[in-house]
Parts: sequence; structure tokens; C-alpha cells
Amino acid sequence: MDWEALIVSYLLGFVLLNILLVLMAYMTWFERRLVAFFQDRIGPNRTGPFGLLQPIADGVKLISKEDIVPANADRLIFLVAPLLSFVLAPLGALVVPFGDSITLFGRQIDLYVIDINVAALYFLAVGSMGVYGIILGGYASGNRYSLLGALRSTAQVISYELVLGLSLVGIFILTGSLSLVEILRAQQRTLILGGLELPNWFILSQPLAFVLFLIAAVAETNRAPFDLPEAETELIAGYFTEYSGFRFSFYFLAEYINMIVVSLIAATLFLGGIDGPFIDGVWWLVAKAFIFLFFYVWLRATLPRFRYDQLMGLAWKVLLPLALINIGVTGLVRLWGIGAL
Amino acid sequence: MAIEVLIFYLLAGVAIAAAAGVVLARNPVHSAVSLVLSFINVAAIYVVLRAEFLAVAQIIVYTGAIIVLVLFVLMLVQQQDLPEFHGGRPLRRAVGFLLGLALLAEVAAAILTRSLRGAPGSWTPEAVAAVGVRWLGFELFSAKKPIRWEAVGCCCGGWEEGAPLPYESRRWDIPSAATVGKSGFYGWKIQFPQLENPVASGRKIGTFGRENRNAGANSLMAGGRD
Repeated sequence: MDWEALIVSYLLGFVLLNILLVLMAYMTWFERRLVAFFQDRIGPNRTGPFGLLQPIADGVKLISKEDIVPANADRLIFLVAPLLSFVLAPLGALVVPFGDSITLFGRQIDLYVIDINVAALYFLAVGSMGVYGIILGGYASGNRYSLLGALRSTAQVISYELVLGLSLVGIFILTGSLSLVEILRAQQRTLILGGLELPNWFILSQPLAFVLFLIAAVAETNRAPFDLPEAETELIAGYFTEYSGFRFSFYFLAEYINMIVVSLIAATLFLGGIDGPFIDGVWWLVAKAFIFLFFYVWLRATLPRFRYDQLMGLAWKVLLPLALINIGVTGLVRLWGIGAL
Repeated sequence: MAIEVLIFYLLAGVAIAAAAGVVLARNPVHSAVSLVLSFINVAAIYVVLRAEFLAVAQIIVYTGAIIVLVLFVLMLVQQQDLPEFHGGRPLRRAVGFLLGLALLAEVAAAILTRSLRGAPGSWTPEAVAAVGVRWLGFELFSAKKPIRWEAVGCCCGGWEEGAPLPYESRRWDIPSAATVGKSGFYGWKIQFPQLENPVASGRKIGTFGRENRNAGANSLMAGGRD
């Protein structure tokens, strides 16, 4: 066993998780400020310069609050569910490639935590596990509103996960691989379209899949306009109504980490990841992920929430057939040799 | 090698303990959570054996879809209305005990009459890892088998399509015995057994909330028959 490679992987993973946590904290600040500007307000600007210390103040406040377990709750599951959500959220980021390999101390180090040959499926698997935190939290609270939120979340995640998975099949057909590193390499080639030389990013060859992925990803992360599990106008706060203090903050953190992870994966799969003009590098990945994060906030500030039947109808009657058509067309194109790699 | 064996025993131990928890837990939700734990540990064993695709498929299909649906159903029913799983009538207990013993004897016979290790084939973990998921795809979708896979895919698609429909509280148009008996499918005389209508017969129907017997919950629990 290559112990050194294993230790390097662990170190990279550790650094990555910590960066994610800091980014997550500032994502909350970014969202509040941005939504405030959308709504012609100012947003948090008192704590530190531009309100930059606000996430830290929020963290201190949440940790020092009382941790209440309702008398009606299923105690063990109630205590574990938020941790489950929080622990599973950042795991998807472990397969994102952050750069090419560099040589450090006479040793080649790849700038990704791990390259597994089913990385894209691994991302989907982690996402499908993440729903357990919500379901179990909602069930264990012993509260009708929480249970309803959990039920909605279950139906929503099962439906949209299907679309999320199927929207990626076109990419798998074009690259012939499920590994994110391989998919990234395929995108670093040049696409020649008539006289134009374009990067071979999959947003150009799979535009429909990109739109489907984007919609399904917003639904998977339970964000507006798909935030039915926590619809405050109907369900108070949905699955986390009964949670307080740092257990509530775990759900909160998980949601924002999920957003960041999905943005990183989307940037890698469709926008060429670290590939960009001038010098390839992690800054391109960050810039592209930032576009997605801005899009998330933009959606939240702009769109009203879906009704439940609209949500289900959209997934099963519109998105799923489109995803299947996309797979069929991509398969035929690949069969006839156009766009073969 | 030693550390892999150690990891295997750890994972297998947790998997077996969780499997025992499925049977022993008194709360069905706890059983489902134990089952999830067991599945995850089995998936981790697949990873140790370098079969990543199998592990991920196990997680997506079993823990990500099937157990989620199980929990979904458990939440729809009122927990107090569930039958008592432990205890019950003495005859039922005795039969259950005997059947369990018979199953144990079968498994024990199967294990004890053969070597646990099996015959070593040409596929080592390294060989499996080297060909990876690509080879699996080619093998599954090679010229010989695609029709079968399409058929399986259509069936699964149908199930998935149908799964959320009851929750939308749609009414299923199940042909009643009267209409089918007259026309028949393909000239066959099919008599569906006449199910008793639970609403008309006044039997107690499980509803989502005790004091909240809305139409949606009724049609769901009664299989949507009018």
C-alpha cells in the first residue's frame, strides 16, 4: 500500500473540508448582502468592515443557544439526524479535480483528493444519502409540520435525483468515462465549429443537459424556488421547526455546503472546471462556481415558490422526458460518429 | 493485506450488528435506519474489494431509493395503527420461530458443506480495478444483451413513474370486475376478485392524521377504488 499517497490524499481532503467550511460561512454573508441589494435594502453591514464578521457573530450566537429536545421526539434519531446531514454534505467535493499534478519535494502530487472511476455516480450517491438527514430529522421531531416537510423532501429528492442522474448520461456517452478527471480532460480539447475554435466544454455540446442539471440541482439542494420542505408560509420551517441552537446550524451549514459542492461539480462537468484562457488553474474553477452561487441567490431573490403539484409535474412530465430525449439524441450522434472523441 | 482484513472484519461486524438491529428494533423507523447502516457497510466492503461501481450502485439503488420509499410509507401510516410486531399469538410465534430455525439450518448447511473461500478465479481485486466500470459497460451493453436491458429499464421506468402518483392523490382507473368480465382482454374472460370497498363496509382506514381524514389519504389507503 502506498502510504505516502494515502497521507497526501487525507491532507488534501482535510484542507478542502476546512476551505469549504470557511466558504460556507461567507456564503451566508454573500447571500444576505446580495438579497438585500435585490430588495433595495443594505443587509448586514455593522459587524466588521462591510459586515464581514457577521458569519462569526452568527456562529457564536447559534452555539451558545439552548439545545432543546422536544418531549415528543424520537430522541436518538433527533440528535443524530442533523449530524448526518452535515457530515454527508461536503463528501461530494472530494472527487472534484482542482488542478493538474504538481511536483513537490520530488514527488508527484495530483491536485485532487481521489480519482475514482465512478466519481460522477459517487456524487449522485452522496446526494441521495443526504436526504436522510432531512427525512429522519422531520420524522424524529414528533411535529406534524416537520413530518410534512420531510415527506415533501422525500418525494422531491427522489424525483429530481432521477433527472439529475439522467442529465449526466449524455456526458458519459461523449467521454466514455464516469471519472471527473477524465471528463475534465475531454473538455480541455478544442471544439472546431466551422471557422470557430471553441473550448470543448459540455455546456456547448450538451446545452439541454446543462439546463436540466441546473434545475435538478436547485431542487436537490432544496433551495428556492424548490424550497417546499421548509416553506415557512405553510410549514413554519418544515423539517427543522423543532431544532434550535447548533443542531439547527448543522442543517443550515449543510444546505450551504451542498450549494457550494453542487456548484463545483456543475462547473467541472459543464464549464470545463479548471480549464480557461491564459493559464489553467483553480481560479477558473472558483470563478465558475461563483457564477452558479450567484445564480442560486438570484433565483431566491426573484422567483416565488412552486406549488407541490407543479413541482411533481415539472419533474415527471417535462424534465424526465427531456432528459430521455437528450440521451437518445446524444447516443445517435455518437453512433453516427459526429462529435466522436 | 492485514489492514484490509481488519477493515473487512470491522465493516462486516457493524453490518451484522445493524442487520440484527433491523429485526430487533421495536420501532419500524429504527429498523429502516439499521437497514441503511447495514447497506452502507456492505457497500464499503465492496469498495475494499475494489468493486466501486457495485458499491455506488448499492448506495444509489438501495439506500438512496428503496429505503427512502420505505421511510416514506412509514411516515404516511399512523405509527400507533401498526400491528404489534413482537409477541402476538402463540401459534404465530411458534411458526415464526420454526421458519427462522429452518432458514438458519439451510444457510448453515450451505456454508458448512462447502469451503467458505470458494475456488480462486482469474479475477483479483487489482484486475477488477484495472478494467473498471468501462469494461462493465461494454459487457452489459454488448450486442448479445441490449434487448434484455431495455426491457428491464422499461419496467423500472414504469415503477418509478408510478411511484409518486398515489401521493398526488390521483385516482387509479383500475378496471372493475364488471367491465373486464364483459369485454375481456384479448378475448379472455378475466374475473378480478371483487375486493370489498373499505369505505362502504365501514372498516377503519388508516389515515395520515387521526382527525384529518381527507379524501387524498382515503383514496391512497384504499388503493383508490371507488
